[in-house]
Amino acid sequence: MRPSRTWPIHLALGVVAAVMLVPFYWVLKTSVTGENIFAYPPSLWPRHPHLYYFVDVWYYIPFVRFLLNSVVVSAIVVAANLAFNALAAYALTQPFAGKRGVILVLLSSMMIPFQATIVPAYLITKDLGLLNSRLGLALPLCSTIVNIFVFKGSFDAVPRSLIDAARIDGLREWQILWHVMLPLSTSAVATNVILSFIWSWNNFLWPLIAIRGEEMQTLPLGLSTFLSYLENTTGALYAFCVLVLAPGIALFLLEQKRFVEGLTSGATKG
Amino acid sequence: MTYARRRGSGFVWLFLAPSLLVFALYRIIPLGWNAVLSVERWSPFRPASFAGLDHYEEMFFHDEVFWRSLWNTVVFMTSAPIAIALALGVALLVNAPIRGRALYRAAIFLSYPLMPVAVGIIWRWLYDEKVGLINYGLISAGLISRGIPFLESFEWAMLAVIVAAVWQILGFFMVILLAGLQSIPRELHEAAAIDGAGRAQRIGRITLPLLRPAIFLCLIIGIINSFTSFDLIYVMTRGGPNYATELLITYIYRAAFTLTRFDYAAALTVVLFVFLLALTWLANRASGGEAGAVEAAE
Amino acid sequence: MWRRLLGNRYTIVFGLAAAGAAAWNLYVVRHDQGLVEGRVLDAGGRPAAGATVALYERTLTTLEPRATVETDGEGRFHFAGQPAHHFVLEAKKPGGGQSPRTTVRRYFRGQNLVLAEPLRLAPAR
Repeated sequence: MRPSRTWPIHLALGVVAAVMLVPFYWVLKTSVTGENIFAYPPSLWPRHPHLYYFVDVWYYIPFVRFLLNSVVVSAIVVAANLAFNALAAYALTQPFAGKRGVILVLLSSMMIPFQATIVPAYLITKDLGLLNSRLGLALPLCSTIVNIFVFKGSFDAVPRSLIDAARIDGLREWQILWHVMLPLSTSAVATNVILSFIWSWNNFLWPLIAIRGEEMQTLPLGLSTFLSYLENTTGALYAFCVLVLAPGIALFLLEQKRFVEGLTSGATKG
Repeated sequence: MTYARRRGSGFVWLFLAPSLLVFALYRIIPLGWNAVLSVERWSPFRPASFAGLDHYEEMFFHDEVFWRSLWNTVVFMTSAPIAIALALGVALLVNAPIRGRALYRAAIFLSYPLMPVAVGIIWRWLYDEKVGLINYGLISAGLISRGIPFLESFEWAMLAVIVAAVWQILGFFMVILLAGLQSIPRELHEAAAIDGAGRAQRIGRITLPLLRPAIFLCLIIGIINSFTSFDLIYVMTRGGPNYATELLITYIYRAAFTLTRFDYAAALTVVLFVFLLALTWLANRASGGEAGAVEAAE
Repeated sequence: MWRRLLGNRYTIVFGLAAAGAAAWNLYVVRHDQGLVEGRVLDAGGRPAAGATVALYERTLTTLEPRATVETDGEGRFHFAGQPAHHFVLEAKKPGGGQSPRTTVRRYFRGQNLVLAEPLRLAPAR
């Protein structure tokens, strides 16, 4: 391809990028000005921007509580994911009787979307007494198959000689995992953290089902409840959206490459 | 060697236990539980009684909302080919040797990792009849004279929701197709160019066939997405107006948690799962089985 | 190794965020006595002594009366201990009219404010 006339491509891509970014710009603009909630025609530049809607979000609704719940649940999910997935992936790198069966079970579990399990998941969590609790919110997400295979891919790449040497040195299995495998798999660890964090942070259906009352609501649930109280009548709703989107966007910008690779490895639902 | 033999592989099951427990509790047991519940008459207040295929009979013969939601799910699936076609075009553009390519890629992919709830709220407002940007654009372009209440109108709601869904998934498909594009060896294109093949021919004869696995992967993801897209619909329309955007998954939620008919919802879930499996199996077959392992995890 | 840790973009981003949050909280704690100070001018632009200024807190849906003070000889008023972050002030003087309702917003609850614009009494019609 001759790299001569590239401006039509830039034009087309510019249009596409603009269309994709307009919703962001629009919500950001409204969160600092509150126009276009009632005013028409809409203006392109923000007039009289101010940060008071963010103050409203902080005080008018239990935003801090929602934030806390989301953070705690996500922390549990990320920690559990790292632990459970690394353990499981390490086990899967060893030969053992029944390994085929386990892998088959895991692969077929991958075909069961969470949405197909909501009724029993609710009943199970109820029987466990974990409804309306942060642990109950975190539990279904504590291990995901994509992440197990991410670890497994990384562990498989570790030379057997290292493992054998460690065994001969008398290290126990979990020590091998901790001292040999994980330090060599920082990339897999990072991918695990990012994917499990995003899935937990964005999760809406499960909190909607498992939480009653305001005490334990997470951010997505709080956002949706806030919406149903106030409809579109205040800029605070859009400030809430901006605050809720910020971590996801920040994480994406910080770790783009890893994000993209993690999400596309084996295809996933975000 | 004695170390290995003495150690044995007992630790393996210990290591696998936590993950397997989570999957057993929240994937495998629910599957079975759904099936069992769907043939029972059960509620939290009464003990179970066997109901045979009553729920299925009600679903297939007496429940219009079920058929409506099934139809809506199929219609919603058309968002996949549309998104794939658009993403293909964008991927081809981004793949060109231009500067700032990473910037474009980031800008277009940005919509994917976002919370669907927030995305739904943003689009709800963009579609607003009086102050929405979309109506403003349409009116300014002279296409309509007054705002269309997109999300409240029976005719437009589904289309509106599909547009929002396409917007969110476009970046993801683009990235998958881009990876596929970049795995096509340049020599093929160069050889074809030397042989006199034009750009369109090269795309049609070389690129597209080699992209088949990636395209089918996107198709399968899109199909799974249309079965699981609860958040967006719930926030934008709640399944209305008048079930115009009620997908099977939102109907399941409604049956289970609004109408408290857990047994009926379980039957609906069984149908959803069977349908999903059948479609992805078909798509996998049609792609020649090259689409690879696909995850439907949350 | 320390340099790598410090130069890591996560350390920078989260470090800056944490530092910013700490600095902000320090500022808030030093300035949150809930003071509101301002002046009232009458229709002629002269300081209005003895006017009553009422503070209403604006919740999402209503306006709740919170406190009233009187202006001193130079038309100045002073509230203390008012935490509301979004409130409305109204000044009234018998025989001198009343001011339009002025909305005031704060960046944090109890932020000490000195209002730049005086409340102007307009004669009642």
